[in-house]
Amino acid sequence: MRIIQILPVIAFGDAIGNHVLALSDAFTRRGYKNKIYAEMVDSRIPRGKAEPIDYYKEQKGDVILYHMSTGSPLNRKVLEYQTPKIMNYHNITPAHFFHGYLSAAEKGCIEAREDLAYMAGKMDACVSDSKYNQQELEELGYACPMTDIPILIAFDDYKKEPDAETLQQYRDDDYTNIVFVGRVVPNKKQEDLIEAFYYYKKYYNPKSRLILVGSFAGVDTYGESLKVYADILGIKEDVIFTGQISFPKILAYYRAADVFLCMSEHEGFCVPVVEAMYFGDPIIAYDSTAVGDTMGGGGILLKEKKPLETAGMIDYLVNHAELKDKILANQKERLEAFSHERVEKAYMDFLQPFLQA
Amino acid sequence: MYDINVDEIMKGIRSEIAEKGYTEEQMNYMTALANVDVSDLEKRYNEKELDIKLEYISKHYANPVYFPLKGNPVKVFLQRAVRRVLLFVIYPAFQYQNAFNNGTEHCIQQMRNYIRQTDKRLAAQQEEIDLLKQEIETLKKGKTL
Repeated sequence: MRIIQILPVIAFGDAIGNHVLALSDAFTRRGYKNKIYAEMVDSRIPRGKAEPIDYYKEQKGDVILYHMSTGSPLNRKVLEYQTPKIMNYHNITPAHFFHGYLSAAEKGCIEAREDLAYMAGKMDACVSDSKYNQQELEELGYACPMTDIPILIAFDDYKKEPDAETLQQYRDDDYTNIVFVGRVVPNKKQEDLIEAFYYYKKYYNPKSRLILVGSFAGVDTYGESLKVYADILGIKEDVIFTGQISFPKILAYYRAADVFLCMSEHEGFCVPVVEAMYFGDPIIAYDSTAVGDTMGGGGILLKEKKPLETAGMIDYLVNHAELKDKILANQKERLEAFSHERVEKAYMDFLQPFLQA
Repeated sequence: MYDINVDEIMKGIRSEIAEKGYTEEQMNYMTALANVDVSDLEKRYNEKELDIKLEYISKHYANPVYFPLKGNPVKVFLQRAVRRVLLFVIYPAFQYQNAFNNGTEHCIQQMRNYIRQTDKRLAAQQEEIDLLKQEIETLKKGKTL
């Protein structure tokens, strides 16, 4: 009996890649043979951890865990395997977000949505990262056993040393650091962060900066347009685009943050929100898609997107220690729901009937 | 969990905004970038980025064939042995690649120098143009220089 994880791309350092690797470790620890196969294996993935899908030879007793998140021929090919198939649904970015920026991504997202609809009724079970994701499957007519289990996050990695230089540069001055972590892509709405920051800096706190941590992820036109936007607003010196950076530097930015601000309009889970909880950064986030579900009562959830009011909320949070303490306590409590043990157990409990069969 | 009344806080923030007369401007992303051709942005010249990357290239264009091997001592020993055995293949490849990298780095440096010189020249010319414009304005007003 083997658990076979299949996905189109296993990328180094992204949420799904980390989740797949963490699941693999969990399966191994519990004594289950398991393998990871992908169409594209990032060269930075530790050698031997994942193999090209062509290497996969189906065996009797295999259970496939298919990670669905993007357009790929693999979405339909995986249905040809005879073994039980469980979908782990991470959601698909609605194509319209990429319109005008990256036609390939737009096309890929359209195809992925078509594949997702086609796969309804062809999977034996589904695990979604959030209730929001599960609801999407239900709306598409998925009627197999389903559950929602958070992404498995390797919190141990966050115990590593943050980059000292970055920490010194940004934490040890009297500036207020507003941080967002996530790829610079249109659905994450970094422009709304910039706009809210503009008002915060103008009306509330000139000694502040916005740090946008994340790679441009192939959508360079969007990233460049954000730089132009910051320039037009006259705040380009205080809006920092880190681009792709090392893991210790990401840790340093989380540790330097005074507020974690998220204005994303599409998330299937939103790992950075959980990371911010881990690092004790108070969160202000726009209530969209799965964000509210992941926040689960921790942090401040904004029902409306009004940049000036968002700026006011940042100021209120920064200047009200009592509120900040309450938020951090709530976030700490919420964080327990994502504990490795709890998520791992939920996965094993859900997979158990298939593993016994 | 502590009960945090976000609506109540928001109410307070709204009245503070109204009291102090803070206003939202027509400066959202779509409005601000209405006249910018987004498709051209990807090719936008970024001096800072060029300097950062160029500094990296200048420091790292020559890769040593005896690059440090780290990790498991047995693995390192084997890697060293394999490297020594294959050195007659690896060494010329490294030399060729390093020479190529050196040439590329030199070309980019040249281009960077040219950009700097051109920027300087343009700035000087702009100063001259501004001065001439001032003189023309003065003459137009019928004054002598």
